[in-house]
Amino acid sequence: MARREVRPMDDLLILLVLLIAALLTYGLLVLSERLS
Amino acid sequence: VTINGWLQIGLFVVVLLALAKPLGLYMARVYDGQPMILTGALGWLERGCYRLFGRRAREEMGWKRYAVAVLLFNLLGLLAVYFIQRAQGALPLNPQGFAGVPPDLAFNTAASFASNTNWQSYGGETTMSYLTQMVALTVQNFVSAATGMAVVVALIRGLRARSASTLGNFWVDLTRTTLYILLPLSILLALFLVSQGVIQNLSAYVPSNLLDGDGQQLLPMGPAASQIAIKQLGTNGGGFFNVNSAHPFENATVLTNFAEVLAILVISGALCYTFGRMLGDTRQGWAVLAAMTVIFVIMTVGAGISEQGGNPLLTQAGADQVASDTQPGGNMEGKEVRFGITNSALWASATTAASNGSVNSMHDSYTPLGGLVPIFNMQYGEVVFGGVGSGLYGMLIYVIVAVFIAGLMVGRTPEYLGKKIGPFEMKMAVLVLLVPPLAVLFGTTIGVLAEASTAGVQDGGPHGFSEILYAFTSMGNNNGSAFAGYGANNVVTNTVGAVAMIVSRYWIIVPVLAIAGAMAAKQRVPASLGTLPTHTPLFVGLLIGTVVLVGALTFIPALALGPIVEQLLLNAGTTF
Repeated sequence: MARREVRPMDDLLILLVLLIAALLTYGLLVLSERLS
Repeated sequence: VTINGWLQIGLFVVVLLALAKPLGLYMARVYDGQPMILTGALGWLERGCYRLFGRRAREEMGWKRYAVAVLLFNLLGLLAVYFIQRAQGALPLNPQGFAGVPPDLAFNTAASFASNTNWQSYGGETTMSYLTQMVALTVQNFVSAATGMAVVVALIRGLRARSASTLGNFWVDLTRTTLYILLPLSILLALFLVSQGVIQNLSAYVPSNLLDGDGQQLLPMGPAASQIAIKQLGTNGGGFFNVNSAHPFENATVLTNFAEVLAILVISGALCYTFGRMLGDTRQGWAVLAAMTVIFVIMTVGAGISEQGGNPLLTQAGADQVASDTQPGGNMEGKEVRFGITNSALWASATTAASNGSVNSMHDSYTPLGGLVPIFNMQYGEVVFGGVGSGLYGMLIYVIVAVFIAGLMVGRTPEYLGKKIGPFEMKMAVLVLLVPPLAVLFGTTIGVLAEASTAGVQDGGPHGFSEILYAFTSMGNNNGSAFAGYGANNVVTNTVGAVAMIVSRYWIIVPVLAIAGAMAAKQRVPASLGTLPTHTPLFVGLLIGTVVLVGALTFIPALALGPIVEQLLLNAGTTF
């Protein structure tokens, strides 16, 4: 498998994507609770 | 399909159904906290885990607290897998000296293993150290499976409760699932696999001389058997080696093949019995299992017929494609000679009906309609057996939708198991049905538009589209199998796919637990003349129709652009 160049910022960008996904998931939980 | 093929499929289904009751009964005892042999032997370990989790670890949880515990635990698991991969170059048990995994691939893999998907954009033997395979990936194989099973048990408790506000405790369910169900079964299966020649070691790769005396081949080694046992039982599917269970070190004999394909479906099937048992009405569990089995057998036979039929162009060119004593006939491209067409088609159908994703043949090489079977199996939402736990909770959502449709037809308030189904439950159920198609179709859209993604597509025309559609169908339904023919290890596919896997796992778990909480709070009303019985053949038929129609209505346009038009073009003489 070809190794790609890794920049120092890449880890932070990935964690940012994960944080957004986590926040949206928590938002869904709060919304579900409001609806119930 | 040959007579031998029919017999093999029949034997498989009989063994699968025969195991549903004993294993299902055992799991019901585990979840209801009844004493059994293993609680005597391993009870100290269970109690030790609770002490580790803290004082509040055994309190009853409402649905929201249960959901928060699931999400937090999975987030921590995802982060741990991510950082172990990034740091593996500096960590021990790395005899081949693999460097840290690049961020986007590490993210994709972490999301994949935490969400019980096990999509692999990497080849195990060329990317992951033994430490990563064992501590990061295999551990997630256990706990992601246990997460799915815990969630379905919470849903079952919600369905059987009367005016309750709690669903059990996630940490207890997680611990008991891992300790009393997944670990013992995995140890038994791993020992059996090792006895048949599947490898289990920590050695460096072994150079071996080629038979023609010209050069050497490096044979990959590693602790494979222990990972394969749980990858099958936990419907994870992530292979130790790149070609997964087509590799002789992962799947050594016809017996290991039978055991591995059985292990894919056995827990999901047995959970149906557990469901009926915990409700106190086993007919409900058998009805769900019957619906799953009917769809599974039809799809398996469909794949078998298509593969045994082979490529019509070869027949026109004068090739003999009829099975005989000296040849298997049909389409053997991409299949292991030792397994043949039936065992390949059976595996392809089982691995995609369940959200397993391991393979023993290359689905990319199937005939177009043979390849449609695994794609469509995934597209109706991984509810035919499905993932351990996730398959049953997905199917129970379909049950609620089927009951609702029946209620609309006769003009009565829909109810299931004596509980009225209200607007809130329907909103959540529709969310569950819509999330995976959104993840799949948005992902595929990006996959066909982004240059980074299309550059990795091997074939042109509808077959190339099928390769991309399959990849995002697999990730967007938490399956993890690969069609092959698509180089998915690029930044776009890795990142979009990771988000698709996260969304389609947790955006389903949250509404399912919300439904569980809402159902738990309801009174149970006794059945009346107007109640639709949910254990009859009629209802099984309605359920099958609902599952297949929702899947078909959502995905027929995409399938028409891929495998369907490809088969029509093949019949007209064009291949891709």
